[in-house]
Amino acid sequence: MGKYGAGPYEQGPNIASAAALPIGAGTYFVVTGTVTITSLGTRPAGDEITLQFSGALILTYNATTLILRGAVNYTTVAGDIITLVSEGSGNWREIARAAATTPVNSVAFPATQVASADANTQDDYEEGSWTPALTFGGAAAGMTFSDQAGRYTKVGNLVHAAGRLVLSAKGSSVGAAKLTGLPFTSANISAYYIPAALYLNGVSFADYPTAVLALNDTKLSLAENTNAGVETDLAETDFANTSVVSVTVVYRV
Amino acid sequence: MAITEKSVISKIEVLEDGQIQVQRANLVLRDNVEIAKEYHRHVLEPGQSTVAEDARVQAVASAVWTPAVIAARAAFLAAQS
Repeated sequence: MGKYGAGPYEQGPNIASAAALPIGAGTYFVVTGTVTITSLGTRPAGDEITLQFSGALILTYNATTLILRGAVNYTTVAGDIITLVSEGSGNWREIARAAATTPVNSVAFPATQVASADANTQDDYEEGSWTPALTFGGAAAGMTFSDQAGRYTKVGNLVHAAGRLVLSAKGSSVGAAKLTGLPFTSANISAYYIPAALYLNGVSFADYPTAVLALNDTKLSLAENTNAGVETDLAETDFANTSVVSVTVVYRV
Repeated sequence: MAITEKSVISKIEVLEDGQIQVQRANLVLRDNVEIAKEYHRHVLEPGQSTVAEDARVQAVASAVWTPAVIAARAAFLAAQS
């Protein structure tokens, strides 16, 4: 740990935020106010300082003078802490950051994914809800539900979605049955067809039912597969007015 | 102390073939400061009705879903089935 002025690990006076933030004696400072910071005062190369922010302000990234993680500006919230090391001549590089809004023992990802092409980088997390629905031949005329609920969790490029619907009227549309409404479009990968785990109640089928999500799609095709190996689409005639469909699928996006 | 709720379109993502992924954030606020948030997602196919969608989603769909985009997506889905 580098040191300066008042000695190692000593708190300096509070610093009012300013475009050019003056750095006095000490290694730990509370930065007050909300003025955007574009540069920091000069320290010998190797000195480290830690800044705690008492409000929301912007630290402006600069490739030479203020090198921040991710090469982007950083908007602080009260309580955020950042540690920087001097590279001399008024140039600083961030080496650590502790966001006040990140709970202990948690990892927070930005609301907007910063996608990484690296196969070993975790770049996204999101959880939420979706609304499963049903169509026959691509339509759902007169169809109503007594229950529709779905939850999803997205980790990196993998989505886990589970949902359940209960018909209260199957309506008048006819044709192949599809469960619709998945929260993300599946990856557009050649020959990417993902089977889903399925629970049916009040639905007739021969031997065993299947549900498959095709590439670049948000709909599960529902079918029946006989023991003889013949696959046929499930259709409106296989459903009752009170049929239940539950599904779980894990797929890439 | 006032607890309020608000629902906003928090993300509109346009995929290469014109599908639009919509993320809605349902927020719980205490004195206008967010204390809880839940997302809901759905995806729109090119050419699909947007009558029930947020005005911004409608505007994006209107800009993106040209006849060529709609036709290309329909052709892709037809080839899938």
